[in-house]
Amino acid sequence: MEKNETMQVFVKIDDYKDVLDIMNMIKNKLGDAKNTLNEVNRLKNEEDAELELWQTSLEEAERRIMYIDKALFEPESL
Amino acid sequence: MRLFNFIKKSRAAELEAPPPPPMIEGEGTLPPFPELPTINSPSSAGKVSSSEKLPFSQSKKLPSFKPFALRKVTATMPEELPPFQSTELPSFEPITEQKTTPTMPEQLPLFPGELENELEIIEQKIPIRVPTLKPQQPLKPLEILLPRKPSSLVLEGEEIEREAVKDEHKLVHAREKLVVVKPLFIEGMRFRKIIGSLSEIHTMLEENEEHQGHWTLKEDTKDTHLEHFKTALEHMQRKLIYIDKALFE
Repeated sequence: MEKNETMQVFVKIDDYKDVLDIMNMIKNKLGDAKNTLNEVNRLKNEEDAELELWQTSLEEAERRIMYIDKALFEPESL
Repeated sequence: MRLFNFIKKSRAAELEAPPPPPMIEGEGTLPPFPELPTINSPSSAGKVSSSEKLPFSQSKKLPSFKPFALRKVTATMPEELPPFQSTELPSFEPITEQKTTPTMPEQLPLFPGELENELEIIEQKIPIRVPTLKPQQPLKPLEILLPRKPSSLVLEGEEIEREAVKDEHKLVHAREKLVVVKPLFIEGMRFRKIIGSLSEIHTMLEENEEHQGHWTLKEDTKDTHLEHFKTALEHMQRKLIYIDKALFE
């Protein structure tokens, strides 16, 4: 039994060349996917920056509108 | 209980008796029973009186039937019989039993003790190393493929990267020029690991697809929200222009 456990078994591979080609293709695809993910990440960062800008400009607009509102309807408070 | 008996009696005396039921015709004046014949007398057993005869026995008579006469049938053979239409049946070859003589197998099955020896021999026969692969053509120098920058601009990191790329290119070229001469074998355990890794990769890819689906859904939701945001901004702009006009013009 011990011999069977330690005995090495080998598996024959028929289409070794094809397997290598497919592996190469997969590697290329993985590289493409990595590039795409990096691009998406870059776009997301840009989006975040744009969103920050939007938020700032909106807050500014809100502040000014509040001021106008107060100036028009509560002049004595100014 | 007996104390109240006098009440019952007095009530029964007060109540009127109901009228008697009407008399049924013939009640009380039934005809006398006929005289029954004695059981052991001969007249009662065999004879029937004329008054007791059944009516249909006098009026109807059963028809008389003649006995059936058997007809004699004689079979006559025709002088000339019609010609027999014979269809030719396919000829069958007689089946002869093929006598097979049992032959001794070239190699007899092994006993458990011998099997272990045989396994040892097989183990020795199995190639320990993977057979070498011969490249078809000699590899071209990779310096031609990679354009070189001026030495002043080359940094250390770039040099390392270049080395890595060079190694990778070597491998790729070697693989492209491979010609499998002998059958290739992979160690069983390694093969098992490869299969396991492939299964894991498959699962990961499925998960990634699921994530991509979620991401697409989120992107769609984001687009919808952005559309709303744009509409709201336009609405606000129009209102502000109106206020501006109303206040300052």
